[in-house]
Amino acid sequence: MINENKIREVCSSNRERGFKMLMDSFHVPIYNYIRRLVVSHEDAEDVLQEVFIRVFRHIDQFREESSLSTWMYRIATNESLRLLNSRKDEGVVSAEDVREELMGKLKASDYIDYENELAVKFQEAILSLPEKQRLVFNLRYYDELEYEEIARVLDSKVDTLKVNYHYAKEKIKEYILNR
Amino acid sequence: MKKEFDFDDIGKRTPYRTPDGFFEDMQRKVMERAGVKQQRKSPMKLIISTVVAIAAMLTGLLFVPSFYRADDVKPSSSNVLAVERNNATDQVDKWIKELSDEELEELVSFSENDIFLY
Repeated sequence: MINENKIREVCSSNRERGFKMLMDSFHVPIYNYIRRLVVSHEDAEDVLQEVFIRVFRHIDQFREESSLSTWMYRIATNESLRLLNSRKDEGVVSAEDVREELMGKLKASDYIDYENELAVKFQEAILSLPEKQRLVFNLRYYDELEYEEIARVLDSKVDTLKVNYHYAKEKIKEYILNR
Repeated sequence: MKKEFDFDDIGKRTPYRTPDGFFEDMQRKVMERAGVKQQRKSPMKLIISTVVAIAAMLTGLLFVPSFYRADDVKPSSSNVLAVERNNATDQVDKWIKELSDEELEELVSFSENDIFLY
């Protein structure tokens, strides 16, 4: 269990020590979240570094945030999408191309356990989802964020998120059973 | 093929793995990029501060008894030893308390390699 108050307290008295404590607490869950979004380890590492650099630069700001965790996931989401959409923004590729690229990385990348076939297929199913459903599913299913927290991370309404999560689960089931 | 898929079959397992030592390495890179200097005293500074502290402690041991006036009630020799030891250990305790974890670690390894200490 991450003690956010303790991190805030240490950050107030010693910025660097507080930041180190923050990284120790969040590096695994935030890396895992980013990795599920961008797939390749190298991209996940780049994004994770950017996330922590941004956090360090704005570390004083988080004292005003209601939840450190929500703030971290929000930055991680934005940075992951920035990476995924960077080529799309240039008009070179479509959203479908980005999804295909991610599928390709899932099928041939380092640091993926291909012996665990069900786990690989499950990630394929998640990658087949539209972006919003993919984000909601990851935050709810793996990170167990409350819908209210997800709403703050994604700037969305709770009811919309619930519907998105429901559709995501149905599509994943269908993908696993029919492909 | 099963007709139903149960999410409990997979749970939260993912196929994603990381290289050994990845998180430590990542944190080091972030600290470097953020311009955070890792606070670590050089071994030479540590040795000098150790020597100074030991010299101060020995000075205390040698001269503290001379501050007692002759007409003071002489404590027993065992009490003098106790006072001297308390002064010395207090100083050492205070000095040790002020050391960071890293400095303590280096001091221990330095002491272990010092044949004159034993």
